Amino acid sequence: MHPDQPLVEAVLARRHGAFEQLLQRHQKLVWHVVQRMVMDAEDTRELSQEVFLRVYQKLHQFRFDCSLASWIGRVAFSIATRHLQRRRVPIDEAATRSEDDAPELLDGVADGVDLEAELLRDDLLRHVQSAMRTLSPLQRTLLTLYHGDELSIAEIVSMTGQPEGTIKNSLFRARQRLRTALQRSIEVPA
Amino acid sequence: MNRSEFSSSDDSSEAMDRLIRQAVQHYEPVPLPVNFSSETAAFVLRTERNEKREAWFLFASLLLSVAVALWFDASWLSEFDLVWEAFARLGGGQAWLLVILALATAWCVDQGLSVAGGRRQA
Repeated sequence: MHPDQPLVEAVLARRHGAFEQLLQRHQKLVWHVVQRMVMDAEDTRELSQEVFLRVYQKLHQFRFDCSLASWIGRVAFSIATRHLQRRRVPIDEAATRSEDDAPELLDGVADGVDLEAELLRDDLLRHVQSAMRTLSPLQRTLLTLYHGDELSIAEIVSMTGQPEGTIKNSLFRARQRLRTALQRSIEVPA
Repeated sequence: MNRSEFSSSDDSSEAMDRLIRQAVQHYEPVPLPVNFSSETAAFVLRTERNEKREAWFLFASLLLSVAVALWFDASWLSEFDLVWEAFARLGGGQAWLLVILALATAWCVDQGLSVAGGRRQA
């Protein structure tokens, strides 16, 4: 039996509290996907609600050929993508700066630097956050799904419908861009 | 595919990957609202209920409009004989005509409701 089957059947049977349970289980993923794509608080809230409305109305079409999380993530990705397309925002185009000028990053980081301790500094976090904003919506979303939600490449392929090569390439470029930003924030010995 | 194999090639890039992973996990420009799930559940159920109500209302309006038309004067139905004959000659059936009529009526009622709704909101 598919692990999501009891919950899906409960929602389809309109059992009390079942949809709320589904919502609580998947709200973080939907929020992550939509928010990384659209980057606006009000739009994120509205689109996330639209995602769950679509899930509620189309759940009978779920065929248990992937995880429910992947299926819901796919709905979220498609709604966020359509929103950006309507606003003529390209989903795979970074905002500023070229990645080509990124130096070999780790060469400059001193051996004695405790990277994780450095990360905890507020200014460094702010720096990373501003660097995240320069990524394309697709890069930001993929990075979050891969590193934040710890999904596999296969799951991300299923969720976004993007080819595996595109995903790996976007992840590589996104990390490269973040490394550049991080390197600027970490103390580099002369 | 192995996650660490994809993420890093040596110790230093592994450290950087760990750092990026941590940064991404901390990255929450718009935090998930505390009441999001309850608010969304209420929104979804309300929308679903409203849509069902609207569909029933449209259907009832359609039946009512046909009943009222028949009550006033049912003789206009005989006018359809010509149309049905034409349809029959074209290979169509009466069902097609009824479908078109139903759709047209539903569309008109929907338009009327939208205009009325728009006025009420204004």
